[in-house]
Amino acid sequence: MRSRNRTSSGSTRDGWIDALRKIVGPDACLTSQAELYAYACDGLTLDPHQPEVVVLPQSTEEVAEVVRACRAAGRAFLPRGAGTGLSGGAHPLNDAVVISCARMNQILNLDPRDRLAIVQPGVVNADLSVAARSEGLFYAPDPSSQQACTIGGNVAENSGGPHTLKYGTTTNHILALELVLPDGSVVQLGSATGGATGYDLLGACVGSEGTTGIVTEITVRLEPLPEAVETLLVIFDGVPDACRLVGRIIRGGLVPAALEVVDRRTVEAVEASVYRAGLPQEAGAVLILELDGPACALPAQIEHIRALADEAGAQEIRVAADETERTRFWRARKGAFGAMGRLAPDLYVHDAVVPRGRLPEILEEICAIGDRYRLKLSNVFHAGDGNLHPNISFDRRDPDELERVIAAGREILEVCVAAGGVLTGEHGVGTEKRDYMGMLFGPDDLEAMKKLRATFDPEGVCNPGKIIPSTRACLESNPKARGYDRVPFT
Amino acid sequence: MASSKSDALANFPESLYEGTLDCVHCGLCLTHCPTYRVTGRESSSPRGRIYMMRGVAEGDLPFDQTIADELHLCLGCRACESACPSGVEYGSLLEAGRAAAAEAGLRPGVRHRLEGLALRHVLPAPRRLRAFTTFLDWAQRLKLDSWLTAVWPRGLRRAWSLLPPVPPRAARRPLPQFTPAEGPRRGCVALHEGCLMPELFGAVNRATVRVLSRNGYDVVVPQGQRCCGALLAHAGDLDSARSLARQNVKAFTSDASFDMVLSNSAGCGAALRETHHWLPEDGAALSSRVRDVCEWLDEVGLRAPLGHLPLRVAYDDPCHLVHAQQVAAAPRRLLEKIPGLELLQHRDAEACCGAAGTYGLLQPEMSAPILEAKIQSLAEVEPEVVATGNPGCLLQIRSGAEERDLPFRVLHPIELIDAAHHAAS
Amino acid sequence: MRQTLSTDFKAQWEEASGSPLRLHDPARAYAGINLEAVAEPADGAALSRVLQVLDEHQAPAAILGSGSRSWLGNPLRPTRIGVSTLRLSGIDEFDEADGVVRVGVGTTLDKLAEKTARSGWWLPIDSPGRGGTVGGALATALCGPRRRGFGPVRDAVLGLDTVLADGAQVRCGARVVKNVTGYDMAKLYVGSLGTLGVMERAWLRLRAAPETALVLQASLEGAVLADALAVARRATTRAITVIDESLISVGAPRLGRPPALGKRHRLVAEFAGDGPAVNQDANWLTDELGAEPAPADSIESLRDLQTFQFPIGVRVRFHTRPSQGEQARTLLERGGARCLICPEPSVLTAWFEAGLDEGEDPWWLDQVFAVIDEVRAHAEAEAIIEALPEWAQGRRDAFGGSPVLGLMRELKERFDPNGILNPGRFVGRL
Repeated sequence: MRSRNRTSSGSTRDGWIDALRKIVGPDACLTSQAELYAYACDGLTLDPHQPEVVVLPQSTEEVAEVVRACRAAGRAFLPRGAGTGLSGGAHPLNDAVVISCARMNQILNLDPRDRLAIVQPGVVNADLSVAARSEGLFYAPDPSSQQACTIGGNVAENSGGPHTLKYGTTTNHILALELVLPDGSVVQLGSATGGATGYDLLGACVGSEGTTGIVTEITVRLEPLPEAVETLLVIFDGVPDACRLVGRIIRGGLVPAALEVVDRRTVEAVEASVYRAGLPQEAGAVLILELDGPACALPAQIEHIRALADEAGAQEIRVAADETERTRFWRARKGAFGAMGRLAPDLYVHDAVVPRGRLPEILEEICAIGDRYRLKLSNVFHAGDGNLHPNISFDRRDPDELERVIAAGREILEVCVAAGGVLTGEHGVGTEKRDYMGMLFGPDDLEAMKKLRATFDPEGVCNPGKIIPSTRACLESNPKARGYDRVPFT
Repeated sequence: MASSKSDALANFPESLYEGTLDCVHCGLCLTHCPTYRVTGRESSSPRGRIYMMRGVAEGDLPFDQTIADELHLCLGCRACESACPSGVEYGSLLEAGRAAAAEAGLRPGVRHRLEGLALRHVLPAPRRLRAFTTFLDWAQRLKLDSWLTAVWPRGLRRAWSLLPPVPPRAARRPLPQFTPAEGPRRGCVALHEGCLMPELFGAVNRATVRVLSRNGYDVVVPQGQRCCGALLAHAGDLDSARSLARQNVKAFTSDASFDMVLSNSAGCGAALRETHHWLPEDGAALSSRVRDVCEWLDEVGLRAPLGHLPLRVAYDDPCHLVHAQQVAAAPRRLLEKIPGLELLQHRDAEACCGAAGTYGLLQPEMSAPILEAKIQSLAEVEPEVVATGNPGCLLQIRSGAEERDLPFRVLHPIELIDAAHHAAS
Repeated sequence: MRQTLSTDFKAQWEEASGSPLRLHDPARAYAGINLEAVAEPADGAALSRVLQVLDEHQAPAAILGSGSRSWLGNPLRPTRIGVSTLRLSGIDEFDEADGVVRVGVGTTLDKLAEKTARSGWWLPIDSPGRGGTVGGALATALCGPRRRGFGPVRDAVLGLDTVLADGAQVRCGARVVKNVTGYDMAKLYVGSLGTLGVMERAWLRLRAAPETALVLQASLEGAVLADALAVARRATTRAITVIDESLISVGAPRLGRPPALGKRHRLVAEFAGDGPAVNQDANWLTDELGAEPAPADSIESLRDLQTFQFPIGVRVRFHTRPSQGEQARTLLERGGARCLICPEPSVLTAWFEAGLDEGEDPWWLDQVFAVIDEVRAHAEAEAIIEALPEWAQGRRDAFGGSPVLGLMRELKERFDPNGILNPGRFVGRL
């Protein structure tokens, strides 16, 4: 971490910071070193960058003015939600000004007739579903961090979650955006009707990791709460068996609301945490399977699953007895990432996608890679989407282990890509995988992406340094370039 | 850079640094943190505070006033612990961080220093505390307070307004050292009576003894027990807290005749339960035997009959019960057993009310919006009684309700159980 | 303008592009333009060379599929060469375990759907009309009656190989069903009428065939959209439309059944899914609205109807919020239109029929435009003009413009600086 010595008052050193302070108010303009330190990274703690100033605007107008002031001062800028991202998308590179949306947290309109809501970007994902519940609706994308992450952040990352199997990811639920462009103008993309004419700029902006502008208002589609929900735990000897059942379910045409696999190491960590749910710790793998829909259809589906599970060699099937137990299962699943923090001081959460039919063999390969590099590797993933999350627990203060973590991570991605998979299914590219983009895309592919980006941000001032590798040569994984070497006590 | 890595670490206890490493920076705590919710600042969030402390320990960041202020802005409600999958012991980190700040000479504001004086010299000394309540009693009777406070600064005025009417002297007389069980004896329990409780909530203590006795327990109130020290520890005065804890360990462990040490104050109960954090060698002997009174009654089961109590009751979780002791269902289960009592569900029952020990007095600007949200969510369900098991919360919610002229009463759950027993007899 | 392409040119072209060029004599009409030659590249490399030649010569080209949906969009600016995608066909890989398929855009929808259906997978692309290619369905991104169940066309697209105007062969997405690796470029190419690049091959996501599917119809009167919305919101509803009875006899006679007395609208709904759930919804509809089974090919009839055209008339598609659908319908019917309505997401297709006189009637056209503008304003709708009488072609931007046309111009400028791809066809005549 580069730390600069600064005065905490920040009084007149730079006129442009005063200008920002005038726009948002002194209380919403952070300049003291300690405060800025808290904004140096998101859920990816490697390679933090301390910003020079953080502003917390409260309206679209304030955001637009902040953007114009940054442009006038020749400063880059980036949006930040709750900082729960896992790919470094919210790391302020190039001394970018952090525009935090934490105070833009109002649900502006919740319309049950048209089943939509208009929200500010700082609204917490779970809060929206809680608010919609009384109207019999919910907001479907449910990233594991949903109790903290914001809708604005979800839009930037096109976040997924366990229930995307049936309901789709964030992009399938966004009807319109209000966007402050990098030149400070405000535009509306998309339409509440879902029928906006012209190029699908809305679709291109969702998942653009905050590089096309600052989203200030979001119109989302809400889904009706299903009439009935059943959550099952299917217990297996090993992860590959669980994956085989997933394959059979997909092939058989049943689309569960979620199909999640948790391996033994993860179960142990979760059961030691506040999110414990009574998952069987002796099992090799637990498949969390959720069915939802009309009540009359579920009994037959459960029978169908039972038959398939028996064929796949499941040890046992448990059906959640009630809503409380169901909630406990899901809290356990969603707390899994953080719970891994118990195993070692650091955790590398990987994110890759492979064709679902190839899950068993690829998981075996991934586990072999972990063993080969003598790493503590665990798997908890969205099996129904083929979205893997191999987690490596490590201690970054051990430089040798760190090297092995990086080498193994790269090898895992190579295996996934070779199988027809991709580098990330829901965490985004950010800074973490920027330099791996060459594994999947050639120069022309990246050039096309740059054209899209330049349409919105010709000068590259909005969240610079993300997604697209800085130079074509920089496709090698270089631990130094990625900041892994900057660790204490080495 | 103000200090080199080793200097920073010299000021920073190794155990505190190790503790910060448990945090994987996932951010799940953010929305559970009352101060983050009000400010939107990540430096006012648990993750931010931990990361800043880690930055200090790693020599990236000088230990400055901003960090000390953020540590003091924390309510210590520990809602983050209930959300933390990595099991970060935030409460301990906070106490150690505040102590390190004090050691580093980062002096908090005047209000905090006054607090320190009061905490060190009044709460742990029963005679001084009694003298203070007597003064308060007279001041209230003579209506001195209305003209006295008129000239005080706003913060102090608000602090004064939190103080309840002092109960009559009869309610403040000491508890009997031994109360025998009524009916067949099921066991013997010791009661930690607290420092403020006997002075301001003597009625709750008495109700607690009655309920325990009616349910078949001998109740002893061991001599030599002291204030739990929680408020001192929260303020960063770990030395004084340790000294009180030692006396409590002695008072409660020298006699093995009772099964359990019970507390009816969530804050004290949490502190007693974590005595081993302060006294790693001999604290466990006490901390392993502490239970909240509602938790205990729920565990052993109520035996005495419960009469009809036709009331609409909202149970609000004290932070130090739900987050620090992970007790949430027990008090609700007890209340639900009372015939006629309707238990209401209000939003964010487990969110802090802003009392947080002395916080309401020291950080009125932050405490006020937090209390407002709490009162709003309570008002929405229109209760007749709000039940909560901690003196600070009782005072805070009472004052919030009075300010908005809301008609509900605020009681300790044990008082409702006592009333139900009474109604049955 | 007209200047016949020589056979010399043909030889030069074929050498440069490596792709056969078919000369037309007489010229072939396409979207109102007579093309004299059509290039038919057989793979991505050939397509790339074709576009490079065109780009170097700044020669605009029409991008062609089977022509089945060429009615969408503004008239093409004068162009002599077409680039056909028909030979970019074939099913490269069909992963039956995963429910994904890689296909050349020249493949016909019917062929692809038939192949996947044999293995129990549905192609979730439900484009209005008949026939046509995968490329056409993706480029127009039009939705048919099953929009409720299938979602928008873009949701079916997992990955795309596209050739840009400068000949760059670019890929985006992949075969996996969840992916955020880089910008979601496929969103740009889908629905852009070939004006940003020419799609070559696509990875598509399939849907498992339902256990049961039932199509029912019922007659409606009054505020028909309230009823229709309730049907649309049943759990198993896959297709739902409300149709003006008078359209059925002219545009979808196979739906059969004479109109019920005094009821102007007919509802056709398809329920698909697990047997018990489908039966529950079908029974509900029968009880609530007296629905009866509809002919087996009703959905196809509805798709045909969506492209039906009066000899002289205007066809417009509106998108509204569901709550504004009734308002839009009322305004349209009062303005003399007949409607086919999908209640959620709310899409209304409206037909205005001119009198029998075949001459130009600008007054009538202005009346129609006035109604369209009224619906736009009062029902907060987007309107896309799908068909105009020949004499009225090009009088208005078919897409009605866009509030962010500036950004769209900028995008087009960066992807196709020489304007060679389908010039004039898209929004703002880009």
